[in-house]
Amino acid sequence: MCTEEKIQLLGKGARAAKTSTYVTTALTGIKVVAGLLSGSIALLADAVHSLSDIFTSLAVWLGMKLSQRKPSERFSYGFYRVETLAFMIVAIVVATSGFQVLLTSFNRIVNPSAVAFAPATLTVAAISSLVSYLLYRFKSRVGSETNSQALQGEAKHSLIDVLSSALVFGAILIHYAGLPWAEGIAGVLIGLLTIRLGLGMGKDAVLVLLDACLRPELISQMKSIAAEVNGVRGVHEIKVRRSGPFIFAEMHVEVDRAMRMDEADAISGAIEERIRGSIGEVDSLMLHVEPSKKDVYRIAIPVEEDKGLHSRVSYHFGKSPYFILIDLHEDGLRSWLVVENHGARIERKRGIEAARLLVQHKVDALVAREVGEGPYHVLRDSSVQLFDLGEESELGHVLDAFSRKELRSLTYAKEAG
Amino acid sequence: MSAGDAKRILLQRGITVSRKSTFVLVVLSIAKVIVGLLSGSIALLADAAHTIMDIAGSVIVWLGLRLSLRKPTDLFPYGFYRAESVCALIVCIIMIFTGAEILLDSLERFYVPSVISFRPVVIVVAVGSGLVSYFLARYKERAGREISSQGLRIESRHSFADVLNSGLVCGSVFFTYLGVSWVEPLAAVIISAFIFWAALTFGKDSVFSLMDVSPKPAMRKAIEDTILGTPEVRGVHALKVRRSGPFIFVEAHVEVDGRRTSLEKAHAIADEVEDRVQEKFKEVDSTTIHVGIHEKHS
Repeated sequence: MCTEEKIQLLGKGARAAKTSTYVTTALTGIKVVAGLLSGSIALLADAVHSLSDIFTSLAVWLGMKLSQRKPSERFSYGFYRVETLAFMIVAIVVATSGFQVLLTSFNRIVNPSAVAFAPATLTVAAISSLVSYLLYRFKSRVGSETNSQALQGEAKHSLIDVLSSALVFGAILIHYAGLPWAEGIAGVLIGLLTIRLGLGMGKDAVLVLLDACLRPELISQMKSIAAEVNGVRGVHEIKVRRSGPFIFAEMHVEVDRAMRMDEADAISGAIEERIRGSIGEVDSLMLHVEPSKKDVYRIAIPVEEDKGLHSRVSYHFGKSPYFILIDLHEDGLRSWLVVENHGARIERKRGIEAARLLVQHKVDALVAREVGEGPYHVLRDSSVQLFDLGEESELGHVLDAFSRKELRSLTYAKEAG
Repeated sequence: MSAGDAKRILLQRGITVSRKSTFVLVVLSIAKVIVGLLSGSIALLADAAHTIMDIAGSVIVWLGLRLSLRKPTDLFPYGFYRAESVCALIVCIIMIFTGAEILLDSLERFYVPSVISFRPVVIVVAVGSGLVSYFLARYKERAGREISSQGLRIESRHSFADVLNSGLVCGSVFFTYLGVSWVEPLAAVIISAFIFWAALTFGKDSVFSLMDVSPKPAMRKAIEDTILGTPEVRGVHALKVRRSGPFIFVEAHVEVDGRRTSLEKAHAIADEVEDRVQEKFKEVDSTTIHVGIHEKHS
């Protein structure tokens, strides 16, 4: 997603919040007029309550408008966080109004009030609950399209309004049923639900503001994307945080220490392109490319026998009975171990088995005379470098040639065993 | 001593300061309750209730600083420094409510002047409480500046508001004695204005901090200069600096010469840049450098 698209997305959210602000304002106006004309205190009280709806819609509208601003020197990560702050305001207002509903309903259980049968109240409650429901659907849809927590929170706020308006009808039924305290109980339940909703949203907002990583699956996704890029030896310190609807990420990428700058640059370019391609909400992405920390370099060479460094080199790959794994340490020391190639005895896919064995032993390079296409890809996928053994038959000579960097690289042979 | 230890020591100092402050406030409110009950003064009991808000603020800042000490986890890869800013914001919200309460109270008193009790015990407690709050305010402001903790500094303003309030109690006795009834509510309005001002100033600071604000432009420039001053660095772009609690995170793209330069060398340059930035700016917690090739502009 490019900057333009992000700004368009935020603009879409801002427009939805604007519509919601206008609609709730109109609804409040209707309640005030109907309340004044009919003299219903309940309607006027409801109108006062609607002020909080206008307030949160306005906060989200302004928040999403502000988040569209381009990054500045002072705010080098841009203004997306304003959307998160708007979300927090919605959460605080929802929790507070839940508390209020809880208190009033509690009072009503103690002193059941007379229910107003005014048709005006009922008509307005019906309109209000229908409109709130439509607003809920609308904000919830745009909220998930724009990945905006604030709009989604606003949608839930409208859903609570649907419940509260429905309670007005419920109150009448309850009255006929002769259970005056039931309205209070329903109100207490709505109040508790609202408080829980508000606190839950508040927790989400605070976690985002604390730079928490709320989607750990993104980390493994980024890790596997980076690991698929050829030449990447390892990935660590992946950090992901959210800002408004977008994601900021950073990661350390390990590559072969012998690389040149242009190669490293190409690798980080490829990683960046793939990550941005598959995770659209990534905004800022920081890649720190570093030489692989591994200070031991492990070379595998197929051998005919298990005689340590005096073993005879084998010209086969899959059919070779043993592999010698030689670790070249940074300080010039060498250590070795011989592993048996159990795959040598099977009939088919010997090469693949042998390649897997080497990958299991975390080999960095293979020096062999020939290797089939299957094993070649297994090895390359795990970033194992392949070198041509040529006509060499003595291990010592092979190692010398390797450290003088005289070995040519090896590609696969069509008919290798 | 590593840089991490230095930061822990700073935070630890903040924790000690806020813990002591909480303790003093608890003692103060217990004293008010006891004297209030013994003397039967409602004013003192009401004041004790107000001190409980102070205790809440102090405890929140203490918790925030304690949380900041935690090591980064999988869920919080950047650590917990931000907790400090969130707590400072909560204290600001508490202060706005306190300010609003004082304002409403005093507006009412313009019409219905309160009856002041002349009990000497109230005056004595007010003077004592004012003095204690004054020292707490000084103590927290100094420590807050040293460790650049927004939480401690807003707490210091909170205590200073208490000093003004205690002053108001003494003053009101004096003015009521003189028979001027409008001075007390007027002073209360001014105090609430001070509380609003402090809460909004620091609230803005914490909100900006939560929005990844960059520190002062001069510091940004100094960091940029430090990076450019590292040998073999040809250029820097996409410099991003942000505050997290009392600390600073830096990200930058550093340009070096030559497509054929080895990565090892480029990485050594990046390490040098990180060391220099961290050496020069103690408040920098982490520096992430991406090394790129310097494109020559002809």
